[in-house]
Amino acid sequence: MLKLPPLSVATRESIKTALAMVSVYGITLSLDWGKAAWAGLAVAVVSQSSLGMSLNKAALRMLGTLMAVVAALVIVAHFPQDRWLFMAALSSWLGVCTYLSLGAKDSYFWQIGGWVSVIICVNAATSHSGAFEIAMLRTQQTGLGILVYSLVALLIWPRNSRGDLREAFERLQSAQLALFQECRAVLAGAGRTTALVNARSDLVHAQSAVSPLLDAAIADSHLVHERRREWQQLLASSTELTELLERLSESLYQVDDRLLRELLPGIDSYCSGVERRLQALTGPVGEMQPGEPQEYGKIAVEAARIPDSRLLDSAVVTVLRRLLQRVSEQVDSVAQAACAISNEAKSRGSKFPAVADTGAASRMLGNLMPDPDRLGGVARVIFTIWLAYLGYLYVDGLPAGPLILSLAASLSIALAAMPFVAPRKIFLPVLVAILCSGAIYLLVLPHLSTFWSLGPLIFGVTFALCLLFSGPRRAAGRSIALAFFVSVMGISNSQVYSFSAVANMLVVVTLLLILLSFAAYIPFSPRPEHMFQRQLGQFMCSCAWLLTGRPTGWRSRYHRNLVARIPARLSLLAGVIERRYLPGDSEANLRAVVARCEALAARINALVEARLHAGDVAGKNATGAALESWQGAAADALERLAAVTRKGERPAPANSSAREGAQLREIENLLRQYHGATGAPAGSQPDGRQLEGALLLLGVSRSVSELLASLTEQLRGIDWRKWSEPRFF
Amino acid sequence: MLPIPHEISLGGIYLPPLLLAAVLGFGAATMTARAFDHYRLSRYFASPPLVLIGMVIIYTLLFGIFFIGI
Repeated sequence: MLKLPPLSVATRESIKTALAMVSVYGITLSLDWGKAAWAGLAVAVVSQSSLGMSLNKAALRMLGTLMAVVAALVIVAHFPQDRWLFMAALSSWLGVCTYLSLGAKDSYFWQIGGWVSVIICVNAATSHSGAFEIAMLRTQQTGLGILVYSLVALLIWPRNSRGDLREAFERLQSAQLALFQECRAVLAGAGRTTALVNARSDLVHAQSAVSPLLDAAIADSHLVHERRREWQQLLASSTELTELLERLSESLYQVDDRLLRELLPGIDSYCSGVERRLQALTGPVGEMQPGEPQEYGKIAVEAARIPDSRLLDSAVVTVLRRLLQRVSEQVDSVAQAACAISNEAKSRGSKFPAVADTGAASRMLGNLMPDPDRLGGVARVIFTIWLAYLGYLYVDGLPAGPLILSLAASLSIALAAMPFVAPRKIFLPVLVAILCSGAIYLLVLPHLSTFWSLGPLIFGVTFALCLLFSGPRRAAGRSIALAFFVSVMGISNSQVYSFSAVANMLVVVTLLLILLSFAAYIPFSPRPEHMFQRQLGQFMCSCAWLLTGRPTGWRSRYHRNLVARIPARLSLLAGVIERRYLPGDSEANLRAVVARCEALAARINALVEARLHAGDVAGKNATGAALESWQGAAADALERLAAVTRKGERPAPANSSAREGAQLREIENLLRQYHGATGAPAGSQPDGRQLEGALLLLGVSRSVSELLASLTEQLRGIDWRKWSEPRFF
Repeated sequence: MLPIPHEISLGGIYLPPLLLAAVLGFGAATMTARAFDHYRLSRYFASPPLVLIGMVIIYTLLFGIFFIGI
């Protein structure tokens, strides 16, 4: 018997997508539903590397389509005879969807909600069918594509994400252990090595891979679905642990080793205990045995050894001690969640309470907060759609005007998420896709007379494209190729062949990309280096405001939201800045700037929290005034930095840090006087909690000051003048 | 060139003269912009994107009027 070689994952996935594509065309043509390309598009987009990911994307596409149907029908019903109000309402809706898609976790849902409503409105306005029929046809064809692909993916070589999820968690826990070990090495006096930076980077990558896999595994594995609360708890605890370890790795270089050992003599054994527990976590998830509850323990402080002259250094040790204790607690929390997933825990019927997502409300609020970058994206999308609309109305003989509007909406929303991608860069792939599809449409399709000859053609082309663009990195290329393949072919029961259809498509895409290139400069420059400068300036201004402004109120929320979001954008932009702007060591400087900004964001957040909790201590005496003076000086330094980096000038050396250091010394003296005051009324003496709060405030303030000096030095290593120099390309 | 509307035939496909002039104008403007970048002359322009659009229009008109006839 002939034994076939095993098929690769890419081949299997390509066969599944091709089979689903042929099936949707077969069903649509046999039932004469029309617009078969819409069902083909749904298949092309929802086919992902695993069943769970496909199901999640399919759900977002379907729900987004339903929302778009409602929005489109409401707009058409309200403004059927007034084209300006109609367009104003449609572009406003598109703007809302764009804004929400740029901040939400499920951005695809909002993207679909925006551009599908434009497609329905445009088709309703330019065809003989009514808006309701168009909307229903779009829903029907999208549903058909999703249903057929889901069935094919479920029945043929189903590939769930459970194994990938376990591997991702194991990689994450190994990365957490590796970073903790590097932190210990630095605490032992090994210096801040590149290994620490690499371990931190590995951890960030490992952490980012877990969340989408968990969503996919919940959708495609009933074992994970059954224990989803435990898995979500494990993810939440692991994310918290990763954040704590990142903060720990950034805190180490400020600590005086000798003082640390003097004040915390038990730190080595404490860290050994944490490392042991982290090592126990690195086995396969779900096979852990629930052990005895771990004692968190505390790092004993030799209070008697706190040197009076080094209260400021002691404050930094206080911050480190608190951080280590939180790491220890979080390790136990991860261990408990991992044990709960194991079979033994399951058999004992231990049930985790539902994960209390305490951050959901603040995330939602943050998503609705004004954000200059996202508002810029909205302005770009609205400008593009209006320009396309005006062109459609007033340029005589513009080929395929409605198509320009639909494509302008979809492409501008997609590019709003990555404004640094120049539209001209997608011209060549699109041109190749149209020419190849056009060649098949004009040279091959006229020779086919039945579905039995058309089917193999659709299967072969889809299979080849999926195989050519296999893998997550090429997913965008596959979507573009398949989308233009189904659009150019325009397969229907009453098939027509026209050279002008292909030529018009080419002209439309060329005009659209020119339009998008023009709109890309609205309202900011899309060049990555300019975006980086602008975001960095915004970040520093927000940090400066948080240092001096009230820690409560909506303005504080606005700036905290920006400070939390911008470091991730800086990290993304740093990866796409062209090498010619980063000669010599500039690339390392740029990475260090991003790392310092991430650390600064965490410290500023901690400082705001500390100010909220220690306000009573700081406000009662001269310490409060001295602290305000330091905050003002640090805010001035940040604003100066923001101004010079925006102008493209080299920052001055960080000599101002000496002044800020002196101010911190003054706070230290005031705090010591306050703490050691004799003869003061008993009521005015701070208790232990207040003093710890004040020490924490002092420690975080010092780390902000040092980070600021370090950030200035790194910024000086970059040639900002070259970054700001105007260029064509 | 006769001052009457005409089309240009490329392999039997008739194209409007403005399209051909625009393609040539775009190509010439791109090459000029790259040369400016190469010799660091772009820094003398306040807004290179607007200059590029201006150059495309100027080149298109020059090609159209003197070589193609629009």
